Amino acid sequence: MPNASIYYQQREPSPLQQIWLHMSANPFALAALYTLALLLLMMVCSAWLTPFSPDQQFADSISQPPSWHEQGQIRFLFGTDDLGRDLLSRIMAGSVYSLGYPLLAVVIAALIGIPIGAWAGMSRGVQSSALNHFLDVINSIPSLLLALLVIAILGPALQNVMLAIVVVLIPQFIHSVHSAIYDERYQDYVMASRLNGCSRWYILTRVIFPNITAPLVMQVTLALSTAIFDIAALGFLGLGVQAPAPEWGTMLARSLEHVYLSPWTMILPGFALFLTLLSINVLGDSIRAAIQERVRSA
Amino acid sequence: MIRYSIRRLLLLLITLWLLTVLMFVLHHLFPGDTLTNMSGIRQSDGVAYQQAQQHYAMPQSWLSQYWQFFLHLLHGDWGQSLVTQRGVFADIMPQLGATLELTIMAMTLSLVIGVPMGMYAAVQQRGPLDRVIMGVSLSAYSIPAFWLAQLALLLFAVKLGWAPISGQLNPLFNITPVTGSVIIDILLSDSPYRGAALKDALQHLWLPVLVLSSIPLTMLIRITRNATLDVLQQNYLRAARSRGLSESRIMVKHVMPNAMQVIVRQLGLQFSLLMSNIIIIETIFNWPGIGSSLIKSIYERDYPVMLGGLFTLAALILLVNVAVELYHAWRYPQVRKELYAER
Amino acid sequence: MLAHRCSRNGRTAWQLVFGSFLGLGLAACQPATTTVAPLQQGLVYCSEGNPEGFNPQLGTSGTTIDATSAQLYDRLLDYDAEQQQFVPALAERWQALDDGQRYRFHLRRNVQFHSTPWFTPSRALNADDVLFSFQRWLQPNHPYHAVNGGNYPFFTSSGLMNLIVAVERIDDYTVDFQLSRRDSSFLANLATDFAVILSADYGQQLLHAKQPQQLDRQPIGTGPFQFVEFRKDLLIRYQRHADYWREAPFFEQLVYVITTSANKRMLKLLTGECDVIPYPLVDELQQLDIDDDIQVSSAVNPNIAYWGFNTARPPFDQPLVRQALSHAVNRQAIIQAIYNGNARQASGILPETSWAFTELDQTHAYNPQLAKQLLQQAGYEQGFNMRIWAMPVQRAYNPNAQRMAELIQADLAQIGVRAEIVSYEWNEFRRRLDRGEHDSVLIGWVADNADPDNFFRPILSCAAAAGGNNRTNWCDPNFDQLLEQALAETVADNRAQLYQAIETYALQQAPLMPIANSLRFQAHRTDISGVELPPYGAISFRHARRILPVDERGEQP
Repeated sequence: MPNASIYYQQREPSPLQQIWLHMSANPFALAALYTLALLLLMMVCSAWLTPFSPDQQFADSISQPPSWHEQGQIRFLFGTDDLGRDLLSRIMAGSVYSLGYPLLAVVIAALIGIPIGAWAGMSRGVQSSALNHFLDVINSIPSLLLALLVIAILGPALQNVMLAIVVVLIPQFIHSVHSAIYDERYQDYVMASRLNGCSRWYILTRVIFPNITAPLVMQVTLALSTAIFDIAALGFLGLGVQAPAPEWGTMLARSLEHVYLSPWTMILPGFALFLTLLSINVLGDSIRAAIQERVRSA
Repeated sequence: MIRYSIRRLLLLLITLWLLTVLMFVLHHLFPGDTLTNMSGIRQSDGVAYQQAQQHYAMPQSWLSQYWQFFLHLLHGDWGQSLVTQRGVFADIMPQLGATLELTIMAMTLSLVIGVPMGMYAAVQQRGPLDRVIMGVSLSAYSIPAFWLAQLALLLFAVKLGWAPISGQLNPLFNITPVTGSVIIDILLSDSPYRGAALKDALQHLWLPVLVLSSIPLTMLIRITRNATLDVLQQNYLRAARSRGLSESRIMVKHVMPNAMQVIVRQLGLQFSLLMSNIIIIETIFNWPGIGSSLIKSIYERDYPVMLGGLFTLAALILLVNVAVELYHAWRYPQVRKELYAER
Repeated sequence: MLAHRCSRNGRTAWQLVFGSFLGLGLAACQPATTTVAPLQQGLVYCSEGNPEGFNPQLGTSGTTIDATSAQLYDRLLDYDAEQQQFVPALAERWQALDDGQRYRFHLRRNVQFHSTPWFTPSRALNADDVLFSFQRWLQPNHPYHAVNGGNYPFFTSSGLMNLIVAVERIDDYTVDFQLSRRDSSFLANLATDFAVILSADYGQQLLHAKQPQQLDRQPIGTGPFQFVEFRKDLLIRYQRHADYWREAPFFEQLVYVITTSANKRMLKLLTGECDVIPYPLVDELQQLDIDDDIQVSSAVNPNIAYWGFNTARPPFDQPLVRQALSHAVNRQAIIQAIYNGNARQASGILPETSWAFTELDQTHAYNPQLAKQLLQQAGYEQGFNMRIWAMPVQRAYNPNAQRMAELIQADLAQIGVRAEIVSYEWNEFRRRLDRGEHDSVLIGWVADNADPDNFFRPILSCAAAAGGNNRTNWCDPNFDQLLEQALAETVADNRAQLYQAIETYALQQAPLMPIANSLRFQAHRTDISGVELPPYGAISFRHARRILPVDERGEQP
């Protein structure tokens, strides 16, 4: 019996729901969300979807332009590269490196960073203040620089890149969770439940956490965009995922040698990267706008 | 303010000191011989290596090793490059000049263009121009810098011929690098072709500056717009309007100074972002700055140069961040009280 | 007063900032080419990498040789490839004495060394300089022998180290070389880019200043250009040597702009930032040829690209494995994809241009089935993991080793061998090769002289494995003995046959897989002429000049 309650009661939507309501009113945000979902689907299914193996070399059609070009063939929708490999297959398979691995790195970093941040946010005094300053310092150093440092020690390889990105992202998560909790801690409702005698654990998980989900989601999009950019940048600099893996940054770097004659080998992977980053950034941006909107209207 | 400044500077010193500890640890973490990583002197150099062992107190405890390392660092003796055997410190200084030249220009450009555009967008909120500006800035923010740089090179340098592909200056202008900043170096030189060289240098400069400023520019537009929108909703503006002040006067006298407060606070962060892009941009444009030399040194496993570059970049970022914070606290006393850690 | 001054300063600072932005805007509208004197009187050569140093005696890489030999230094004699004979250089004439066991060189008079801010020569070239230059690497107790590494790869692997017993000064302008035996390749070796003459005077001065290592970093020679500055990863600046003993070069300045990316080199040539570039991209060659402003020239180059296996490491110590890998690679596809057909598939180690060359193809044909069988015989049914080291730079023999490695990687996957591609910065790459850290490497060889011996000894002999260019670390006494036999033979036809036997033996053992012999390409702006690419030697800018457009003011009506 739905909605059969006797008393008319307006249910306040949760903070996340409120933000969703704000966001779904924004067509750009929705478009970004669907694009990202599509990209994720492509990534997950890339093993079955790619028309060819990403490493298969067609010696008879080297540097074939994309199909919309007058010399293009429909067989290779995005054309082929200098070794005759199908670019569409490579870009699709590359999404595993350029979207999947960053996603994995973000999940790992979140799993490590959020508990530490929560602990730090709940602690107080000198300890917390010192940590805050320390995190400020770490976060003011660009993540790419820190990742370069890790690569310099360990050498360029996929697992080292992953390690570098995770290491770089953890302080960001700690910092954002820490400051989000810090902002909520002294709110009246938290004080009320504390006076009710709730345990710290209860306050953290049931009282504060629902109210910081929105900044957390924003932090995840931010971290994802950082991770994607950093992995691609490392690949571009030749210090990340090594060729012939179809990582987009690496593909872009490799394509530079023949950019004059076959510009599509540079433009298409770059565009894939751009589209991914754009959808994530638009999403993050609209979440931020929605949060602001919620705070303003509250 | 004095208490705050001292506190902040102390924190900076502690951070810089921590950075030196980190460097010391890294020397041990890097593959190969620790002393070689530190001093750039190879074991095969016999006598020099033994001398270095003495200088860096290698046989003694970690603590005295660190102390010696720290003293060397303070004295500007950052070891020598494993590749060129030249002093790291002496080589980094002109590179710093070159990097700063790009950075300052890009930062200035994004301030000069970004702030007015952001304010304009805010005034026209939800208007067509606002949407265009916001849409473009969000897309530009998502373009990976290395891709943008390549596209720009392809368009402006190769197709249109408006800019050279790479470098600071046509090398045939024999300008000795003193500060590393090519414009200052040209002005300092006594070359009879200074005018032509300056023109050539500017041709080399504009494209990297433009590409580099794309990120802070778009960010500043967004920050300014949001800050301005916040200010526009304040009561004191309503009061100002009701007193019959003209729109332009309100903008200049009331909105801008208050919006600037938020913008200035963000400058440090923008600088950090700029620094991570400058590494890539310098590499693409063969700009002889710290970023490109850092990447080169990673390729070459040249650890003394690598750490020298990392230390300089990190220190530069920290310094700028602290400087921005201090300026912010000095210029906007109203927000100062929340900076004293307790709330 | 003070405040006033401050504000004025403030204003000028702002003017400077705005001025620069205004300048940025204006500069963008101007065409990129200007015609100022220094630009007319200088040449920009976009070289492919940093030199290891400025003394070719210590170097092996073509980059170092191209940057130094023909520009900074001279040799006792030169080899004229067109006339196929030796021509006098620092030695005016020479004669063989004692049945070819002693050579006497008469030096040219009034040959001036470079006069630079750090060194003013006190005298012209004489016998002391020749002695100094040769004894540095000949005598282990020479004060300069151990300076800057003490490795003299060319002299070790070419056998000159053992051949020359003594260098003697007869008088100020006469020098004798005492040899341990007759050797037909002696003069050829002295004419190579490695046998340069340094200044003994400068050596003395540096010893006094306790800076001997500067000898190879701030070089002094007798060549057409003198050293000004080297900024790593950026440029090498040379200026005209006004007192050059031959006709002084046309250009006031010669700048090597270090541009490691082949793509950037090509684009910079298109935009006119480079006047001359080495190793242009083969794919783009046709594109370049169409352009009116750019000419592509090619020169026959005695080279071989090969895939060398480090025989000091298992499983590459087994000839069966090496043969299997050689059979697994589709070299025809490599010629098409990497060289765009601008190379000839190698049929042996010697290139077509060598007089000992035969048509007979002794290399391992592409046959993945056979390769699998061979691997099985060697006990590797399951295949194995290996690394392919690919050079980061373009060379005449290999325009793109990384791409080649990817092709080979795909071929190897067919026979179950999983290959990983490794690359380092070029000088780092070579240092690690010297230490033998590689499994296999894609590299090549350019001959220093026309003798067929130069295709085997420097890359496959035991001596070269110990301290030279033998990247396979293959040391086979039988092979070395065959080489000695061939050198002792004097009848050309017999020698050719002996080299055939040597080639057959080496290919059976398969320490390396020959890939291709290629032309050496170079591209330059059409207003540049006279850049020389001798087959056995480094690029030379001595005769290079800029053809100025016919004076426009005069031509216009």
